[in-house]
Amino acid sequence: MKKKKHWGFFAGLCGVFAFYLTVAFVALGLILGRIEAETNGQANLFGTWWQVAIFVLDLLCVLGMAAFIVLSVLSRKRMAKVNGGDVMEVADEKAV
Amino acid sequence: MKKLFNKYLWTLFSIFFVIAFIIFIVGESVIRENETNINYGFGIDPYKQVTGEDEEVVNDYPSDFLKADGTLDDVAMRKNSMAVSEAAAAEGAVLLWNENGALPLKEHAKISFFGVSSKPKNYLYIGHGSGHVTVTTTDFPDLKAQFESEQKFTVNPTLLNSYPDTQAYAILSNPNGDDNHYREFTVNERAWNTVATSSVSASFKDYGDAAIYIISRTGAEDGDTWFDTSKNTPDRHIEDNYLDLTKNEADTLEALCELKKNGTFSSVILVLNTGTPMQMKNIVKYDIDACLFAGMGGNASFAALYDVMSGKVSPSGRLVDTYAYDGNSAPSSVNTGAFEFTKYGSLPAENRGGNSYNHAYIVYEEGIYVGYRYYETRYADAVMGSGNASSSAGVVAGSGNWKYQDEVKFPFGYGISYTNFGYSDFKVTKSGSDYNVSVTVENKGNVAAKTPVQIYLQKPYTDYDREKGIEKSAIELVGYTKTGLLEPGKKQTVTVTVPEYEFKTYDSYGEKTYILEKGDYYLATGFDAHDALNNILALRGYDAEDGMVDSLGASAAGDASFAYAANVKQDDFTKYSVAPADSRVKVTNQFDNADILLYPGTADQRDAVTYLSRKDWAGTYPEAPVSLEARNRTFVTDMQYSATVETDPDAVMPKYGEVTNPAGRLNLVNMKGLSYSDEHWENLLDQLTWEETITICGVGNHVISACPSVASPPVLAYDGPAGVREKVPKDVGTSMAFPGGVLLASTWNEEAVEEVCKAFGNELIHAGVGELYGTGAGIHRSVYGGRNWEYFSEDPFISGRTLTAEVKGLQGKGAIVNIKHFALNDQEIYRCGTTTWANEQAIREIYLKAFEPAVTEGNANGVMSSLNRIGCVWAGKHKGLLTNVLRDEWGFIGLVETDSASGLYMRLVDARAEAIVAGNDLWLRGNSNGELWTGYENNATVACALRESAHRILYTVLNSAAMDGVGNNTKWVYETPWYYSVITAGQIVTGVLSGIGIAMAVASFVLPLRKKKGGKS
Repeated sequence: MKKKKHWGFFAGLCGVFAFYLTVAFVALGLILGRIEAETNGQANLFGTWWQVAIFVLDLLCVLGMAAFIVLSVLSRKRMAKVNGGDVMEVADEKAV
Repeated sequence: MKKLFNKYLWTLFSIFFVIAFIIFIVGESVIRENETNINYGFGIDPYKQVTGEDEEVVNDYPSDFLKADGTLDDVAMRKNSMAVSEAAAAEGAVLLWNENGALPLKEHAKISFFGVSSKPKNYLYIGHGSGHVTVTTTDFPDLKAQFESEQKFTVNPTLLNSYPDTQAYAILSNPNGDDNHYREFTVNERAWNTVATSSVSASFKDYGDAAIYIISRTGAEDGDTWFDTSKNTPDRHIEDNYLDLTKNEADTLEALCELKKNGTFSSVILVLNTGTPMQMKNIVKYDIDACLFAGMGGNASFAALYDVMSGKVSPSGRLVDTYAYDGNSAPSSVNTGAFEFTKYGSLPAENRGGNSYNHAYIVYEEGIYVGYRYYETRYADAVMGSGNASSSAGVVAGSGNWKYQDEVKFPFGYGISYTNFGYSDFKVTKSGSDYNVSVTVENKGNVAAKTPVQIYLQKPYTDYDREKGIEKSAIELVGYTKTGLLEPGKKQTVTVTVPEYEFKTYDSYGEKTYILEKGDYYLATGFDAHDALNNILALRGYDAEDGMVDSLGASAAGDASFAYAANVKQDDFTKYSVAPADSRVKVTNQFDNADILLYPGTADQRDAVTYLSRKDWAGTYPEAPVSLEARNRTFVTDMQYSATVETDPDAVMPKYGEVTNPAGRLNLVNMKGLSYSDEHWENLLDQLTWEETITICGVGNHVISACPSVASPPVLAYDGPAGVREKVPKDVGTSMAFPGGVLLASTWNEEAVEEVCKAFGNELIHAGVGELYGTGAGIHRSVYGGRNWEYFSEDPFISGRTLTAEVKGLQGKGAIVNIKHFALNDQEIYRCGTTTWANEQAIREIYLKAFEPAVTEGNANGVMSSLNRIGCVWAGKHKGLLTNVLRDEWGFIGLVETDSASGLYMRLVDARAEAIVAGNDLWLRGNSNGELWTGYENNATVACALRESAHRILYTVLNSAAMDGVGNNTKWVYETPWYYSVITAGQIVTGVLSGIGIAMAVASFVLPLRKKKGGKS
């Protein structure tokens, strides 16, 4: 019997972080844009290194989420093959 | 049940809401700290005025435009703003040349407008930066509608429609990726082959009476114009200089002149839509019939252009800057740009993101020789054969020896009209210590017109000057006026009073005060600065054989009958050594710490600077930028963000929150009519709490905070000087851009400027704005200054007169006007913290002189301290500048506010303590915690300075329109802004959900275990 990996949980975790990082990225763009507008300038979404860092992290989280979702689906299929039936709950119980 | 107790789901749920909960909790404190910033961002005024219905209220500054029911008539107000702007913008337009009767346009002419700027969204109504006002182009007719409005002209629609609606310029922020606070601009003119397509070219002949080509150049806060923009632009500049033509523009001019040659167009007219002089050397290569400087006219730009080009108004503007063939021919250009110390010790870390540039410097090595003071003085010396003036040093546009006519295309004060004027009966009479200069002006042409009368002075350049390093310009503007509208053949005698005060000179190294030297002082008039100088040279016996040329470079002699020599028989080194307003105040050096030759911190590098001197032009002309080091211990110490506050042993801790007035609590309104020094102020100030005191001084992002304990109102503040930025009067719904500073100064008409600013004051009242971050009077030290468009001129006299007129107009309507940027902030690169080096004579005679009359005569009620350092000391904590000169010498009663205080050197606690003691009163910054004199609560020196600053701020507010509508019992009640409710709701919701999530997660972990232990499945 193979032990189940909880890819869905990791996908959700990545999703949570992706959500907040996206909010932070957009909010920063708006706030910096507002500050720049004071001098009639235009803020860039990638104007500073930390904006770039937030974006990269955000991207990694989104990619991680996608990857974990794929792994989760594959894992389900694999578990279904191994156990020959309803996977999730049963496997969960056994894994504890 | 299994699904309900999915531990992974609940864990994720918990994490999500715990993070949200933390954000809401932390966010609240961040929001509280930045409440002023947020209020400004959302346009929230948290203080609500509570006034009794029948209460008598102050009404000192009513709008000039009220409806019958007493409410504001926004529409009538805006109509007036447009009318006075149109008149001023037309009056400021300068006609540079006009061949073959190209202007005014012949009636019923069919005309073609060329250039991307012919489209309304591309024209530069005003420059860029915080002074920019967004113009709504539907508020006024476009060029076609304007020029066809009286059925006098027909505009080529095919050509106009072929240009893109939005294309003209672009601003590139930090295009090279270096965050050093600058922007570049692109012109984006269309290539000629894309303009002259076959269908568009076919229309030229039918609209061939005039080809009018509009060229635009902007400038901006953070945006000097000296950068090599070519690598970033699709249309490269010929000279890799933004102020020169781009290749596409040159191609267009060449093509238009060709089309004129083959008869398609009868004339080619160039319109300069700029705020700073363009480089002339390539423009003059083309056979252009007429050239009109239209400047930046704000909303009234097209109307004014129409008035001048149609002949409704004969041009009477005159240049307020020298138009050189090459901008780099001014000596200041050598030391204009980005310079960083070659070696440095332990300077504060460069904090570019925090707007603190600690490694930059700028040296005013040219001294007083800014603009025409350089070109004309060097010319005079060349004529007189002195000072090696004809050497090759400083030859830029010409070749061989230096010649005036090779470097200067149009002198300061130049401009022509549709008519000709003649001068006669030049007389100078002395009255007390004033010289009354009169001249009769006759309109000798066929068109009614006005003209400015310009009065210039030449001081003696003495042996004492040579010995003490004093410089004298061969010519300087000391007075002007403007005639009325003179009908053809009519005469008018005008008189300009020149006080002897203008004869004084600052002696930086000898007497260290203003001196009056013996010798001949020449007063002269002329059509421009060069013409007046020629008249003086003629009186001194020089003529064409000595190499004299007229204003356009042709060999000519002057006319001695328009010059007068006033002889001062004795040196007098005491008469002007005290302040005019208060003879107890000694005028002496305040800026030794900014002079590399005097500052102890540069004792090891005195040789670094050689100020330009007419003693020897060849030997002192700057060949390369000054190279400075920052290693000396004094230098490095002075560069630190903070130092010890000098303690005043007599300072006593003030009272806070006490009612000490015997008759009971005082409200600010009760102080109406009382002088600044009235004893009741002490009672009022005793009522202020410590928190109110530090808030009214320290938290001022687009507001002057209210003080409930004295019922002082909050005052909204917005950027200037082009108009009211962002806030718009309700019934018109759009902003009004007034003509830019250069165009206003070009009118040479103080009354017209004051009228514009009175209209501006009405706009402020209608928008509910009490304080203006403007207007500006920096000097056009070089043509490349990014904010030249919002300042006035290269000359401090006309800058000062124009600023004074603006202050009178605005303050006449109750505005608090922060004249800026005080001082020596004449370029944008590294402006946040750059060290600025100059000698005292240049500082006082050029850079401070532009501000002085606005204070001494205009009673300016506000000053904005600049972002740069003077020497190593930030301008906002330069006591010599803000207290000794501004307040003690000039008698300033008002508030000094910082520029946007984001730099660490401006806002850290210790820096604030030093600055408040030095005389800075108010910080343009919204953060309220941590920075506000924490740790200085019991420092009597700082506390007294804070109290005095609060006094100045409240006195200024009291005497402004902000008090209108306030009665004896008016209160200002703080109403919590709505976003706090959102934060609280968010905290509750996320807190509850976090709790549920955590509980469920725990349960989902625990229950399966218990089930397992219980053996249940």
